[in-house]
Amino acid sequence: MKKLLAIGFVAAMIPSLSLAKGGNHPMAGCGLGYVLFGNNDNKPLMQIFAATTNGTSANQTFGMSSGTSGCTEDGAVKFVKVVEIYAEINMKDLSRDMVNGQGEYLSAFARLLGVKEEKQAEFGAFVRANYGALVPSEATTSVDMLNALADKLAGRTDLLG
Amino acid sequence: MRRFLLIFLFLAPLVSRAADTGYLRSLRERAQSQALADDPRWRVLLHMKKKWGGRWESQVDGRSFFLSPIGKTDAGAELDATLTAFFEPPPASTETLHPQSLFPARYAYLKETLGFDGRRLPEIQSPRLEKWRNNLDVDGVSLVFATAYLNNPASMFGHTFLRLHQRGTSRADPLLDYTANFAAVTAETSGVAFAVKGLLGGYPGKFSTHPYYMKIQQYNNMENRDLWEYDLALSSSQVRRLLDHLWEMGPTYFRYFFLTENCSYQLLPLLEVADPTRALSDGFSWKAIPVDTLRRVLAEPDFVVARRGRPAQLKFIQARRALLTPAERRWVKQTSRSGPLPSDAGFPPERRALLWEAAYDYNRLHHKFRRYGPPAQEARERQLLLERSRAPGPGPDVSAAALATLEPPEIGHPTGRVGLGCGRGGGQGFEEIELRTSLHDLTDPSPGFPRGSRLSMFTVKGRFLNETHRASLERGTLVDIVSISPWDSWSRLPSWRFFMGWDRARDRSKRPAGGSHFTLNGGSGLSVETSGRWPAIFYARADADLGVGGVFRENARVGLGGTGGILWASSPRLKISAEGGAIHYAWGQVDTVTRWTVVAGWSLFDRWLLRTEFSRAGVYREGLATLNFFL
Repeated sequence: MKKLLAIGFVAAMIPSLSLAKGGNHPMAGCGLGYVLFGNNDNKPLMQIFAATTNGTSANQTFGMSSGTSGCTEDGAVKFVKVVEIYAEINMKDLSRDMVNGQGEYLSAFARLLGVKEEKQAEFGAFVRANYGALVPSEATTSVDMLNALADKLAGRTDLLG
Repeated sequence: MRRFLLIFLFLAPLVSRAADTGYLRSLRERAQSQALADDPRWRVLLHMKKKWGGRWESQVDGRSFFLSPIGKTDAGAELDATLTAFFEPPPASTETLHPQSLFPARYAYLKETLGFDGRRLPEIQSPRLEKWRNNLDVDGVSLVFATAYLNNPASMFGHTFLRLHQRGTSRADPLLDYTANFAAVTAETSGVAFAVKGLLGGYPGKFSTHPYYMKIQQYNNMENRDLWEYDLALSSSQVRRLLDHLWEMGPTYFRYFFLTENCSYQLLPLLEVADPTRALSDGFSWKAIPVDTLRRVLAEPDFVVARRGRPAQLKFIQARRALLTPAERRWVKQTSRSGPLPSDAGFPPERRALLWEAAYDYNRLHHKFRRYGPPAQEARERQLLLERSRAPGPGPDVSAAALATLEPPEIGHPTGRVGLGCGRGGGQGFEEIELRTSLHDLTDPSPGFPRGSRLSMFTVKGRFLNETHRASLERGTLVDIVSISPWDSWSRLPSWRFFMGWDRARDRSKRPAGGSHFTLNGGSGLSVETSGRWPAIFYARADADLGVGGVFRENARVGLGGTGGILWASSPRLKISAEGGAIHYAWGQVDTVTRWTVVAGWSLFDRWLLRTEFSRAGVYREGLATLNFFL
């Protein structure tokens, strides 16, 4: 299941990415488009998850701001979006752990991807060795990084449980 | 059978096709005979509190939370209406929530106490509720305390929220857990407007759930606050009850009161629902300061079973920096200059991992931990990371060193303070009483509080003058904040002050009871810390002052000036603060006023503080000694 997710997130992300580029479509990558392209003024990212009273449908148990429309169900991040949102919000700290080959941001990331417990260290060495390819330029977004990682991982399925 | 059919036909439009009204009636009667409406467990599910005069009223303000139109004030009517609603037929769509799944904690409580017969009151499953439960998959709860963040009025007193532990993950591995948080819902960014509206209940407060990593990014990383986690002894059925009730709270709201019904207070009824044997939310009717609610929880026997500190990111950065030699620090600073990166070739290979990590720290800090920086900064950060990935070995683990700098918040002195004293000023003796509702002063004992800080809200100081036999208000503080952070070229925190309230312009009136006016003043500057035998903090700042009152010509004065001071702790028990400055008032009452103050605080024993103070403003001088008790 989790292995499927790791491989499957490439497919899941491509439509959301193209939608996001077309503007802040309500369904754009479940609001990730807002994070990636609409949020140039460096407001704290947390705002995208700030609860609001207006704009939430009565049907939702926990309100979330419109920026996350589609990202959450009753206040929990949708399963298929978990990796994307985690990587986007934690990108700076995750990157630090990636080049160190270890750290809590990396091990939580590995768990989300379904990396086997006993392969964590190997996964750490793997992302560290491939950092330059995973983040080829300063314009690399978290989604780009995830896509590149999925490509690389396709050749290392032994790491995934 | 015929009779049943008749009732059935008659009530069909009123209740529902399938509702078993006879059973509903018998359940209501049973609830009445068991006096469930007065059961504390039912009351806490409705957040009912006794008002002045003995009337019960729910603190919940959202209408949809009550199924009965009088449910806010009548727990019995709400119970009847809840039972009735549980008999509603299943909704057409699984997306629509049936009352049983809108109020799962009420359902579980009534099912348990009344022993619902599943054949006569069918249980309705909700895929949405199940999915939510499975998503969070909680097997434990911690109360989390985020230490004070003086730069935002909403966070000055600290903050509390709940961490919901995901089954099968380590307590020490928090990122992917969820949190439950209560907060005022507002887009207000002005601190003053937030404070004023927040005091008066002008915002709705709502519960929300967020991944813990978001809270960590916000508190630990961006706002540089330490987090303290307190694991609670809750059984799996208690955890289940807490979550069911959290689900009930999701769609509704409370009027948010900054002082009482605030973020940290609202967690307490949630914990009471989980464990009804603990009465946690009483005694906060006039103030609920986060650290006090934490202490209340800690005072409960066998409730908090473990404590963990999680240092702010800045503490890790400082711990890594402490490992660097002066030459290495110089090299790290070079990495933030434009142009090519300096080479690490001059350093032994085993130092390089640390060097590049410290360089990343320095650059991140320098750019205030921004998620999106200008392209040049993003490019530099990427270069640093790439270099780091090439340096051998893992970097040093500094978590123990970062943790060693932390002090748990509960060790601090109690948040209220009352003082009695006597003194002499302007040639006349006086007695003084001071009541401070919160929180900390520069000369109060410092463990558990941010160093070099004063945070006082709603403090009144009254005096009785011996010669004129008159009582008068000496000072009424709305807000008084001092934040003195020793300057360091990495973190670059300013030292600042803000005061709003009523004070006396001693320089304007020789009469001890004169000079009363409203004032707003503040300033910003820098401080340095000396080490060695006499560790002290020296600070200097530019100030602006606005005074409004009849004591001034044109009823006002506006001025600019400066202040310098020293903070010195000769021992943990004796702290001395001395400051002096001058302000030139260029508008309104034109004048130049010099002032100085020296305060010494001796912590005599637990909760007692002796304070002596000498001050001068213009030509007025006074001396004062007070005995203070923290409560």
